[in-house]
Amino acid sequence: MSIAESIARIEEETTLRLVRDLLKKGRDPYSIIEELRKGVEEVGKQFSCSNLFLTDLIMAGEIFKQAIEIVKPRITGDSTTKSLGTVVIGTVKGDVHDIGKNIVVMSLETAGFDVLDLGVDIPAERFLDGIISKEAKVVGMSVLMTTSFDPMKNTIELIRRSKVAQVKVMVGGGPTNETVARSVGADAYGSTAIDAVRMAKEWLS
Amino acid sequence: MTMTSIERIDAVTALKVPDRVPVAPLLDFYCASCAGVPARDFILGDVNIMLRACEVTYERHGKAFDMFYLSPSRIFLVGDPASPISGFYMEFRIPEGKENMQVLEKPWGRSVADFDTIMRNGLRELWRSVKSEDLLKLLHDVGKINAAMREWEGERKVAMYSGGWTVTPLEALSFLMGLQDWAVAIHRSKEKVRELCDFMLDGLIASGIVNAKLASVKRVAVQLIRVSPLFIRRNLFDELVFPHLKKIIETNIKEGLVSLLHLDTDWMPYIDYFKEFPKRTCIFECENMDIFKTKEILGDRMCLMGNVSSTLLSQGSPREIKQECKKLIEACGEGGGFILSSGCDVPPDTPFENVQAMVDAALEYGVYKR
Repeated sequence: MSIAESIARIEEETTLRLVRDLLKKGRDPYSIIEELRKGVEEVGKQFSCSNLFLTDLIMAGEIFKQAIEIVKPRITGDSTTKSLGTVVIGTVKGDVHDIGKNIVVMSLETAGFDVLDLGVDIPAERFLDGIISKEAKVVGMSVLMTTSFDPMKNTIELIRRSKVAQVKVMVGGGPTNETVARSVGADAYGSTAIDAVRMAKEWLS
Repeated sequence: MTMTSIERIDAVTALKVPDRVPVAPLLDFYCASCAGVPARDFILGDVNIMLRACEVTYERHGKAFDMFYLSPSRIFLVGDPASPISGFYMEFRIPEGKENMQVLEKPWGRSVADFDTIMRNGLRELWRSVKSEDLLKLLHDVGKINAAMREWEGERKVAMYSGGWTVTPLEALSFLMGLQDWAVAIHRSKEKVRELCDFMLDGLIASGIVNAKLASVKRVAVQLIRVSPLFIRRNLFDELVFPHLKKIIETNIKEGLVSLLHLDTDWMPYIDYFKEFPKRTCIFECENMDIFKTKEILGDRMCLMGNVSSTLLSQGSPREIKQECKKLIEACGEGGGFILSSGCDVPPDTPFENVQAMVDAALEYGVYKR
């Protein structure tokens, strides 16, 4: 079984054992990380098709994190993998729900993006500061309550009035849809984490 | 003959045809907006502010709601020391504007290794620090809310949504531990999780029943959110959820109580489990799922309740909402066994006219011809 298959089957012990064995055999640590990423991506895909479940997704993230800790000491400073770009993400002001956001963060990270996860209950100014400080070209906003639509709209308006007005904005979360995305001034709506990865890839390619 | 709201709810629970389809959107913080009360006062202020806001909302909508809840959030906040879904165990974000109260999930700071201590000392091991004067205020509030529920049912003849809330132990554990630690514990230490869940079961059952009896309401709400097909695999549902859910419902039946199953997310993948519960003992309250298909599968077994989407309610027009309600009434209301409701609670920013559109639809399209 490959590392990717093992993590996709949420097999913690097997995955970690395979990582250790391959490192002992001298395998390039970046190829191991790549395999781990493929495995977690597969978990994300299976979750989107309802073949895997949220607890599986969380566990896959946990296995990934542990495996990276094992691989890290073998990584030399001068050969870092190229990031696909930076995405700033957060749950908007007034809303502390983070399940959906965390899934998107994990999916973006394993797809190769650098992610600045601002957390929950984030005021508009902090989104703007995050975008400017990271020179991000993509920002994601998550909500679970309809009362968060106004703060989301205000945040996007603030961004559009700023020097980073061109940043691409994607929105998602339980009550959002295409109509909501249009009404708050977002560039796109995603119903799954896979959508978020696809959009970020399109915009940053 | 025109039925009272209580008679109407009893009829649909028994899968009989009432005079008209009952209408019962799940109103919580919407009552604060509707009555012009700040959300913070509604949840934290004198309990009479909340109770008055509910009355005002009921009156403004023409006293047409057939089932009402005197703030589920306030119930969670004042809580029950025996139930982990309460302020004794969980921290909440109190609204600053007009939004809902929300659970604040923080790192648990404990691990599976602590399960034995919890089982030895009881769940009080996990209580948050509560000042005695706050505790007395909470007890006073619970007494007032229970008295109000008895009054609403006794005088107004309006059915109360439920007198007590409970959850399956695995769900309770998810709120205690936080989602991350919970998911990892399920994968790594399933047997220990099962042991703690078994330990918690009787207390959770008793919590729902005792509170329903105190309020003299014949329904117990059973919250089913984090044990849904979105969160856990079927084999885990089989092992760690269904046996407990079955026992909760069976015990409620023995106590003469109806289980109002409050289901979030899409339960269609596990719908077959609900066929196992005795007929006319549950209400299936759903949100984001195909309620028409659910009617085909469960319609001869339990009353359905739902499911106008919260986005439509808050963002749609009264005409769109009325149209959606008409569709629901025609398909799900056929032969009785249906309560027209919102999918989960009505967002606090929902315009008055949109909630009224639900009421108007029930009155206009929901009358059964004899």
